[in-house]
Amino acid sequence: MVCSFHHKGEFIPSLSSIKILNKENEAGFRVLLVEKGDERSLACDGCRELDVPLCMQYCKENEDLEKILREFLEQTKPREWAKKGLIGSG
Amino acid sequence: MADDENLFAYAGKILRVNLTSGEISTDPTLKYAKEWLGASGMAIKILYDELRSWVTPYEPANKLIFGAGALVGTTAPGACKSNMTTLGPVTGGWASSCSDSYAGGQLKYAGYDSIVIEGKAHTPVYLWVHDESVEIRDASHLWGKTTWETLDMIRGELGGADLHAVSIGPAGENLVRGACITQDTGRAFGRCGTGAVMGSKNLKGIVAKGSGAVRVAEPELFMETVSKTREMFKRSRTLEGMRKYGTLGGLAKKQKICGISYKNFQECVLPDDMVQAIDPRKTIDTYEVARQSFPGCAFGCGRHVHITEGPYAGLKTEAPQMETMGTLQGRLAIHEPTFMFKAHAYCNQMGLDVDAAGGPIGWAMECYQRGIIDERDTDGLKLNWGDADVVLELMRKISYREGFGNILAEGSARAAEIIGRGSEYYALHIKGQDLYEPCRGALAWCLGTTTSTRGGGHTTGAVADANPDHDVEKGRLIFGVDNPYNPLEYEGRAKMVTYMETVHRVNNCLGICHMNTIHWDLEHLDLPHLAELYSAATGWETSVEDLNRMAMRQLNLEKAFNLRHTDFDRKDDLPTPRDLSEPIPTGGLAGWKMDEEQYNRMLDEYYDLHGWDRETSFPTRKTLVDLGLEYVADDLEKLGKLGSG
Repeated sequence: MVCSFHHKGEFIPSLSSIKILNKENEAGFRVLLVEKGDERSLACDGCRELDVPLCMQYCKENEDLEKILREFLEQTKPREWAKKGLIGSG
Repeated sequence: MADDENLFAYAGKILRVNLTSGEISTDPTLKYAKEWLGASGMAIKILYDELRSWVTPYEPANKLIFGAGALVGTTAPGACKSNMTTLGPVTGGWASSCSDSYAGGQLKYAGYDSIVIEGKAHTPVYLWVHDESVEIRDASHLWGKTTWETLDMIRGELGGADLHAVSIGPAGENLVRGACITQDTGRAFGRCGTGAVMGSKNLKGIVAKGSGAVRVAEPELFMETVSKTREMFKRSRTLEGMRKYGTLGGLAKKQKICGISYKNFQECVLPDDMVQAIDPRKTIDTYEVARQSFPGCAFGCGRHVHITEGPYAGLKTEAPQMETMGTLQGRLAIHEPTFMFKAHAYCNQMGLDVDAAGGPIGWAMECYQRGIIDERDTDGLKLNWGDADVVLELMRKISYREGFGNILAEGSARAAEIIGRGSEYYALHIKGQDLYEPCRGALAWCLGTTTSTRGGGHTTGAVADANPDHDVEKGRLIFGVDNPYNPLEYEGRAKMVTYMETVHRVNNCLGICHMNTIHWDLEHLDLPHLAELYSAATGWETSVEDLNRMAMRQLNLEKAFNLRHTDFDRKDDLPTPRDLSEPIPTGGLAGWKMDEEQYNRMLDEYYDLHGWDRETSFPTRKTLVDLGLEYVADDLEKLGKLGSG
């Protein structure tokens, strides 16, 4: 919800850059981040104007989410986000 | 700011589905939103205005209303609850139940705040709401399946592994009075028999998926308010415990306050050896495999477990909450620690309210203990306390209305009427609904439970006044009484319950989980915070006084609805004969007994605070007119059920 709010100022989870999906055949969730946006989903920009991405601010398991985000941003936007304390931290 | 053309927070439409004719239409939410807040509030207004007094619960003319709270779909803390409301088969009156629900959120994103379902499908069907598309689909291949099987099959059929549904199991299909509606595979719209009404309509499930938006009127202010309110949870002393174990972490506290049933409320504490044996924290610590949460929740109290040892080895399920432990494990004296997980899973699969199982089975076991019934009545089963296999077999029989289960499926009140022989005393119910709440030793808890318009239950006014950990000073400020956490004092309880009736109703209308509010912890959200969130979301400046008025209007309409459909009066707002006449036998409050005269004075005060007639409990004309319900006063006058004064 909060991701879509960051992009659009409205709550539209279907468009968000982060997808929380059921794991297949087991309990729990898996997290997917959108690298290339289209009409159905917006690309993750790591909330470039914020010190801490909004999803991390709202997630109750934010240590796990930080690992996922760090890996994603290192692979997809390494130079752009190297300045953020997020990358390489922890 | 919002105007009539730009409706914020709400999706904007109420979907109407007639299962007899197949007709699908919509109404504007704005017709109800400003005066009735949302979900359960809008639902009682629709039911009261549209159901004729002669309609009975299983008739096609009855309406089942599924609504998402007004703040669902936003990041408001705890905004994950939806509501089912109908004319219910357990009490014969107002039936309303809430649950965490992904499907409710998806309903809003699809463009609908509520679905009003009437009629009866000719063959089993399910509803598929996908944005603008609304289909009534064949469910004959799903009929007879458990809710878990149903969800899997629907996901396969519609090609969506992440689709969410609310559905009934065999209990609802067989019109078990206390049948519930299960959310996905865990959590349920538990109480009041809404699942039986759904079954009576040949409606197996509702699936929703939406790609639309929920907009708020003042985005920046709303998110600031959300951030500010989420900060409050950092001061919460209960948050970590709830995150780890949900309400199951409260067993020790329940023991201390004599707040758990043992052998059908013959005792109000569990034996020490049993507490050691069944402590659910050990089971969760041993078998937890994943966490479970719902969108917006500030802490996330759910756990998935995979039991690998013992009689239920192989079981994979979400862990239960305290209600299952109390009503099935403790009440029936079962020492196997994983039993509550098994029973919880089974009830979810069957779509059977845990209290609709624990209540009648507890009654039956006590009657068996006392020789009122024997194996000739029970299909040969020996109903000995603590026999987990017998309990599971009885739950199966209830779900399929088989043999003795057909009597138990009626709930303990009706089962006792059927059996007679003096068994009525052991049927512990309020207004016909099986009781889970221990009512001795916690007077605000008791008063809020017994006066509840939906027939017992602690989520429409009961206050946890026996909780020893609450901040007394803060309680004084919130409730306006000197002694908020002295649960054995009659003074002040009525005022506390009246306040909590507003909190609970506002929560139910906005879709806020009670645990995220002062219902659970005084550091959590209170009415001023809910007013701020609602105002920023909708653009309608709403004060605490506005919320209180809307909640009282809703309560009085529920009351009037009950007066129209049942013969409830003051006698139905009293504790059970057992709670009134028996002292607490053992434990920290051993010997304490309710004083009936003082209880009745407390009830008088409660009625005075509500503007209801002391003798009958009926609302007065003045009360109803002051709330803008003059037409309701006219209706009650015609029925001869208007309070004097």
